[in-house]
Amino acid sequence: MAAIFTVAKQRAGDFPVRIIHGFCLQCTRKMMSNPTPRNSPASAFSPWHRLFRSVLDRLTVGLSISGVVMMLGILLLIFAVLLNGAWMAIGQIGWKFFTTATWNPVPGMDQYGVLSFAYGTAVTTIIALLLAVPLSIGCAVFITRIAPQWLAGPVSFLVELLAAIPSVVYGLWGAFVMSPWLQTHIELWMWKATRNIRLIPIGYYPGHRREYFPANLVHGGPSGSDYLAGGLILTIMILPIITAITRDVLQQFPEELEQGAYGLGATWWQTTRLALTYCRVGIFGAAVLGMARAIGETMAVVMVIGNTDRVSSSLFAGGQTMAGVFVNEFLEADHPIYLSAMMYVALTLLISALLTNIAARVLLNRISTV
Amino acid sequence: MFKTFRKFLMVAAPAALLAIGTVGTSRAVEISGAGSTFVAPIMYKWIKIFQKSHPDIHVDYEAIGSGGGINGLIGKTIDFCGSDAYMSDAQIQQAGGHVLHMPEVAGPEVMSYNLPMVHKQLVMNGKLIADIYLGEVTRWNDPAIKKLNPGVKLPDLPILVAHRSDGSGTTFIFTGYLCKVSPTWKKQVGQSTSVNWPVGRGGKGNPGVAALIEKTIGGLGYLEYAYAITGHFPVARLINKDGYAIQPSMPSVIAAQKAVVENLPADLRLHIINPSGKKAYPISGFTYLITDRDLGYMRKSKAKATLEFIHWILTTGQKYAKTMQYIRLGPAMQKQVLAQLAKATWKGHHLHY
Repeated sequence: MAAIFTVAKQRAGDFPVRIIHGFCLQCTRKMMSNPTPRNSPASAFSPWHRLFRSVLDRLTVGLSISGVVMMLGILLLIFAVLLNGAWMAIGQIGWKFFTTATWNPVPGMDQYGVLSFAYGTAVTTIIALLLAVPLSIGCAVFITRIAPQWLAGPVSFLVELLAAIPSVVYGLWGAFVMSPWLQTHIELWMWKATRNIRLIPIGYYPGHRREYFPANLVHGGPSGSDYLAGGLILTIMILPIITAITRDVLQQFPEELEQGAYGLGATWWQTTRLALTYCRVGIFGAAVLGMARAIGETMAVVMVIGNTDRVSSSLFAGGQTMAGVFVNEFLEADHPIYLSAMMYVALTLLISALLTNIAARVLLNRISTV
Repeated sequence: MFKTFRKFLMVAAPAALLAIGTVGTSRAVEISGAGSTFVAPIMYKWIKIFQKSHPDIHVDYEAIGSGGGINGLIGKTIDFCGSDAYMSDAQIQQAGGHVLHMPEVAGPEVMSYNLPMVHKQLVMNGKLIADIYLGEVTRWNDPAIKKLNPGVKLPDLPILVAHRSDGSGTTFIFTGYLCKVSPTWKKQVGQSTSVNWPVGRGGKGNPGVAALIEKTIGGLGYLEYAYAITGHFPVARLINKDGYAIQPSMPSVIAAQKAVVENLPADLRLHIINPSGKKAYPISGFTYLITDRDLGYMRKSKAKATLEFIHWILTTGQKYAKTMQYIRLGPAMQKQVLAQLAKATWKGHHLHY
């Protein structure tokens, strides 16, 4: 802690006066009489003023450090509360929680496993990322490199507007508009195209019928309330954040490099590729933020995913996500082990979010050094 | 720690509202309830009308879910609780051992389906519904359905089963019905606010289930009566214990109440499942007002106001049920519930209200 303070103090000493002059009358007065007060040494001010500045500096540093401590404290507190709540389930269920897909909260039958929910979270997030990342990059390239000025502004405003729509509105729209449309158009077409293609045997359905890829992806027929629908609604929801960040990153592509590329005879497409490669770290970061949102999204997914606690390799099967089971069952979780198992799910969600973020960090470091 | 937090929320929210309320009406008695979201619409209407004739009592109701309401009652952070499910023995013990369950309105559940090509109203029975939800009957032209609906041309379509994905009193009553009519269901699945469904998809709340049914031709699911009626969803007639096909409606639910009123459990903890009678609808439940039997933990004026409000709901308030698509208590049932209310005391004394 002391080290942080020393560093912070040194930094604070370098603060240009303009950051704090707004608080100090004396300073402001001097600024008005002297057009270049920024470079004047601190000793040019009265001792009172120096004292005032040092107090102000310390206050700012103290406030920012307490902000950091508070943030970490809240995270630790959340972790502690979840661990405390889940303690009973951890003791009674243990590791089996991660290998069981059955979720049976009927009192007396109690059987809890997070596997089907974790699977649902993973599948919907992957679908969302696979669809949203290329779309967002395309959108950002359009805004920064293709669209004329008068069009780029409105387009990027509209994309950002998607982020302002509440989750539950997406959910209702998803359930009443997207899902029936998906079922009768996209899924029907996918089903007709794929159901008879049996390339790679991958296992057995209950009843000893062989399961083949890719026919297994559409097993069960179009339903509209399934992993695919959950993934699609997430795609729309994470689109704005990935697009906005990618756009900002692409705008940072240096003019010299662009001119240089053209100068060397690169085509428009080759220059764009150079820009994308140059900005890859930022774009990857945008995808990670989108992923974080997809993992934690609840209401909209619950409305379209079909809410069943089974694991299926079919995209057309109903599923459930970890965040989804929470929003569904938490309020009426009425006996202790049930409630504790819910907390165990939340703990799993928190830890897996942490792990994916760490993994993303590691990956990020790797691509930034390539 | 977590429980404390929930309690804190439950105290904090109404307390904040009360604090605001106190500024204007300093001499009013404030009572607060929490719980069922199902009963919330009529509860708000009741409070609004009650307030007009009783300006000295300020009632506040927070729709936080039945489970939350029961926890509030256990923690004594609220004065009355609204719940779609009655309290379990364990919960009553936690709350101190003595509570009063007072049914306020009845809520039937209906089987809604989506078969636009079938113009005649379908008839179902308990065994069939259980078999469909167990995954044993999977198509609409199954002989079991044909047998109950002679002369109806049923399509060769899969039945898309829909159920509630959120824990709810509606599911509690519905699975209770299935337990009663199907031993297999009782053994394999059981009764709870959410269960491990053998087949089907889950929708969140009534709108979620309705969306699942509406979306696919061949959909079938259970809905709360009020929701199905306001949304004009087609509903099936259900065959009751004595073999009559009954339309879900106010008279048939009141008839069902009448059928159970003779052998009511002393604490009124019951659902009206599969009653006998010519006109009795087979699946309905009550939504309850629950209080402590002895209100000694609150001020006398507050206890009096609470009982007065409940008494008003059970008498004058009943007539507002119909316009809000709830089913009122039948006269015989009402008498029983008022007798239950009369058991309430304050530090051992009966209060006059």
